[in-house]
Amino acid sequence: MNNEFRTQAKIIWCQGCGNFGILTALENAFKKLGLSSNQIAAVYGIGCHGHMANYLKVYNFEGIHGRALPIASGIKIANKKLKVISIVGDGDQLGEGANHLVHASKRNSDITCLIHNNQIYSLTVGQASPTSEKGIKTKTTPQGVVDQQLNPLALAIASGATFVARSFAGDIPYLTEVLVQAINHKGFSLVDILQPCISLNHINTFTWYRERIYKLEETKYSPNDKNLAFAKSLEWGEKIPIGVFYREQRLTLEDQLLNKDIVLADQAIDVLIKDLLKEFL
Amino acid sequence: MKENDFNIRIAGEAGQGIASAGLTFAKIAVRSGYFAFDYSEYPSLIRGGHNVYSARVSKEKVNSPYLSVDFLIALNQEAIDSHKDQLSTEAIVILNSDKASFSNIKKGINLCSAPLIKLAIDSKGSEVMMNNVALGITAFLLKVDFSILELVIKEVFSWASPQIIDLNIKVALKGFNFAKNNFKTIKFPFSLSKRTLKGAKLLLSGNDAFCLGAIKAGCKFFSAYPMTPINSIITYFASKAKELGIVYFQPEDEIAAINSALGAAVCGLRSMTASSGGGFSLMVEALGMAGMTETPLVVIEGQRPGPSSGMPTWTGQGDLRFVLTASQDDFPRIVLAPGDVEECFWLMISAFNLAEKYQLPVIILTDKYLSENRETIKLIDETKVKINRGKTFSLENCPQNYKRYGFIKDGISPRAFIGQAKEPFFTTSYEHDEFGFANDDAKNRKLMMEKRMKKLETVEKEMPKPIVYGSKKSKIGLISWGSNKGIILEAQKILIDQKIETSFLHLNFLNPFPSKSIIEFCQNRRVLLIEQNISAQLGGLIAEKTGIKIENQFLKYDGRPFFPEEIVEKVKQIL
Repeated sequence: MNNEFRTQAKIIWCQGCGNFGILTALENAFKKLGLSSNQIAAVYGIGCHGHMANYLKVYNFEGIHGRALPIASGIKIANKKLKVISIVGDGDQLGEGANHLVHASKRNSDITCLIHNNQIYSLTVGQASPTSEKGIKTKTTPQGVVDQQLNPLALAIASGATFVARSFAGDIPYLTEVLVQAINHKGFSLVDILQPCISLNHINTFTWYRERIYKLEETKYSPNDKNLAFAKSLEWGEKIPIGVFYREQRLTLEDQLLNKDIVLADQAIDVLIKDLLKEFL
Repeated sequence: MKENDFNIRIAGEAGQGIASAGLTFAKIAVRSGYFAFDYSEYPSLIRGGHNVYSARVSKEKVNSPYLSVDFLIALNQEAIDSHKDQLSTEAIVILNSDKASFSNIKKGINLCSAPLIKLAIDSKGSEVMMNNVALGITAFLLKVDFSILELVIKEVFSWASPQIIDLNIKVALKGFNFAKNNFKTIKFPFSLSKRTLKGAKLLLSGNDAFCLGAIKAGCKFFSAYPMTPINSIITYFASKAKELGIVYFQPEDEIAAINSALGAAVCGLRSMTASSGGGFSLMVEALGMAGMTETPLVVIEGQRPGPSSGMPTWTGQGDLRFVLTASQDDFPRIVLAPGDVEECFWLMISAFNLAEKYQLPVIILTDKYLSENRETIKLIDETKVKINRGKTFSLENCPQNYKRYGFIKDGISPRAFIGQAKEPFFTTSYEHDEFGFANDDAKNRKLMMEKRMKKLETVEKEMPKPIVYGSKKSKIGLISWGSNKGIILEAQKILIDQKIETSFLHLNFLNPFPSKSIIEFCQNRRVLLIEQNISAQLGGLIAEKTGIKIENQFLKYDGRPFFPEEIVEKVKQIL
């Protein structure tokens, strides 16, 4: 099969892992958007999601745990012609990287952040993550998780993200649609992707999600009211909404840092400092 | 006392305008045709607390302040109480009689009492303008043309409204006239009467020189979280960014600072971050990523006394061992430690060239003393700056099946930039194969480790030999590194006056370590090691790398820099 977005590397995710669906949907979204592989930079954290750095054929930078967003911010500022995608995990982005999520949202960096949210640390084989549900037993919580589950959507909305959505790894066409909108959005977009871990999370399974999720656009919901979006983001349990929760237009960080026509990576390196020296005479 | 080589000190409370008075004074000295070197001590407070500005002025190049004071401006009681014992025999004291008194004056000292606050308020100024009243008096006593003072006040207060600038000039004139009426008979052996100094001269701090060096080197992205003593680098970059078309990015923490800088670097930007030891501690994990991904990066580490928050506004050299080994496992890095303001500029140019040529992190060690003092240096000749970006591929010449980490004899695989290659390539913090795919094969791992470390061998070959200052043949050797350079050069001058010759080996390249030069230098010499930390970190390195144990050590770790007088005393003890 000829797929310009796929490398030859052997995929080592568990058979049936939700990551397969995300990889396919992402490739589909790139094709739908008419992007070519060298127009895209993807930055990854460390976790099962990060193995995608070996499979997805775009400019990949697999960084260190939790720090994908700052790397992505540097890339976007340096070369704003690139579409920049930050591919991260729930432990990665919401544990070590939570502060970076808050600030990338606040700045409205033009980056798309995809959280592969499987509600567990999978690469280290089964510890509670920031999104593990209260009461769930894991290797680090033999008596059950005692903390409250962290809500990435509410966090992003409160922090100032300008596109906030949730989707499901088990519905590739719908995930593709949401990814197209997120990547197309100018500004910071967050997509929380419900991604069942078939090996280590035996509660939040594909079936568990299918029984609960419903699509926001099939209701009367409209994603342009921040208060409503925040309230909607808190809905979780018997019914779990997916789709676009919030969307607004705001100037991006990059457009404010630099004059519009300047791409830093294209600038000449030679600089004259003669005039700068004058104030030190 | 040498003719027209004197030390001035301005002391008072934080908030009394000591920093701006200091800058004004230093500029006046340079404009009048003299060399200046200044140094400030201040606690980590905005108001209150004791602040001290010291400057040394001379007809010849000066490299450090002295301990003794020839001209003291005391704005409050603590100022006179703390510094009276350091007054030289014919010193002048401008005493703010509104806030302080001075009795039991030593014979020879010239006391100029003036009600600085009253004089400021009399000319419709406010209390905070007492600093400029004092400068007006100073200008008269040192025979400075008032027009020079007026011009410099305009520059230093360029941020203020025309009314404020005007008032500051008025109060300065009030002080000048007060001195004319009251202190005409005072005799002082020094003056700043106008002379011509050949060639344009710059008054720069170490941080100013880092900024100018980085901008000249083509640095387009600077990301740093505020921390003393690197804040003025941030301020300068932020203020010039728009006009120069470069970026200062204010990150949420130092982790984001270094990671964003690496993001910009892989896109081909010359990229930099800066912090002090505390912030650098947070950067350590990503420093290893720069090593693993072979990404060029310049990191400024401005030392101050630690551990932990330590003494934020004071100086020290306690982070040498830390930056040499920071982050897990081995990877190549270059560590530079400029000795003075001029070296700050030129080593910054080298830092960017070396970082790109060898695709590795370059750490520049400075400290509060070097970063914040100002020094008069000759005009920088920017035509001498050479840019070397190392081996790179562009969109046009990047081959198909490009191997980002191809095994090449010297370990340096040509670099392409993210967004500017024919086909996407891969960058990862995991061990990887030649294409950048994660790979934990034993043979590949061994070759990759060797390839990366090989780069240091090549650096070593092109590393400049450290310079020996003073006599080349003296049996008395001084070894030091970084910002102690100027202080030791001044000590050597005093020693020469006392007919004592010394050789001084100044180290500013600390990794790769200049073992050969050190071994040569230590032969047939009685050597004194001088550094600002408790464990003789350089001494330990010398022992580890050369087997030479230097017994004579002068270590200071009280947060204050060395003074030339102290070094002179120490040298005499080992004669």
